[in-house]
Amino acid sequence: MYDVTRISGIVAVLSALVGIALFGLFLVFGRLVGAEQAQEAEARPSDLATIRRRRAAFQLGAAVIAGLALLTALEYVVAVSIHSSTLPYLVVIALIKAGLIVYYFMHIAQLWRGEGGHA
Amino acid sequence: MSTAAIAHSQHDRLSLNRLGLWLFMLSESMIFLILLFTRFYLFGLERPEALNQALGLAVTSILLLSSFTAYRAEAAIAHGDRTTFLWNTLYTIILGTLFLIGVVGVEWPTAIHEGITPQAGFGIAFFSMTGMHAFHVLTGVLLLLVVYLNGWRGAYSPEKHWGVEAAVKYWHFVDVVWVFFYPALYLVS
Repeated sequence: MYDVTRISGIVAVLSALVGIALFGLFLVFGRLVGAEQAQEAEARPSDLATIRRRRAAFQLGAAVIAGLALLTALEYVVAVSIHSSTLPYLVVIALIKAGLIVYYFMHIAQLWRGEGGHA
Repeated sequence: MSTAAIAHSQHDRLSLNRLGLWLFMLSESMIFLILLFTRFYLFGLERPEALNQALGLAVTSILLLSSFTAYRAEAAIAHGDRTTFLWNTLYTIILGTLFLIGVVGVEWPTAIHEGITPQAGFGIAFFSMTGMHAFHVLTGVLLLLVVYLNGWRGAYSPEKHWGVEAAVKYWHFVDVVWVFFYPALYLVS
């Protein structure tokens, strides 16, 4: 059904997805925000709150992309490993992914909460 | 008019802009829903094995990553970080272009080569859905290009960046559409 090139391609892309997820988690736990921490150390008290809010927003985005990458990898694994109808599983995963994007990236809550969208 | 009244009026305008954009995206989603239902109505759970799974997964990952960079661009300008905003907008434009190249430049010729043509069978659904989506990705890339150029000229600030917010929301909408199209075209069985 699949030749070696296609299987290698799929393995490569799945690895990339796991990589994206790990990168996101790495950002969430603050390993790559050293520059911001240094900036924070030098900042005036009036700028500190902005820097911290921005960092929180970036970390939230990283957590969401990590979740999306893992769900995409799971979606693919479900599709190739389940031999009965995969439709219900794929619909649930797609709805969760869309929900994450609409709530966290598109800030749908702004519609009834008013101004502001980033943590 | 007092400063408080001006701020209140700007806030009302922003709320209306947001509501208008969401209604626009809701009406756009009807087109995509029709395409999605047509695909299942005509072909059920059938899917040709010839579709390139690796490429489908790759373009999906690219589009997901572009949503992350778009989010970072918006968060950056909302917090006054212009450099991060410009870089992330540029990354989003590049990733969007890569998605277009992957779908239209590589996947379409590959599918035609494998016998999936726009004139018959599953190809009707495949080319309609990917074509309509690719057109929206193209318009999103053009919007982001305008936002990038405006940002380069310093048109946006933490207080005034509706243009960025609107373009980025539209970009996420295009991503949400693909979240449903990808399994419908490549995975369902």
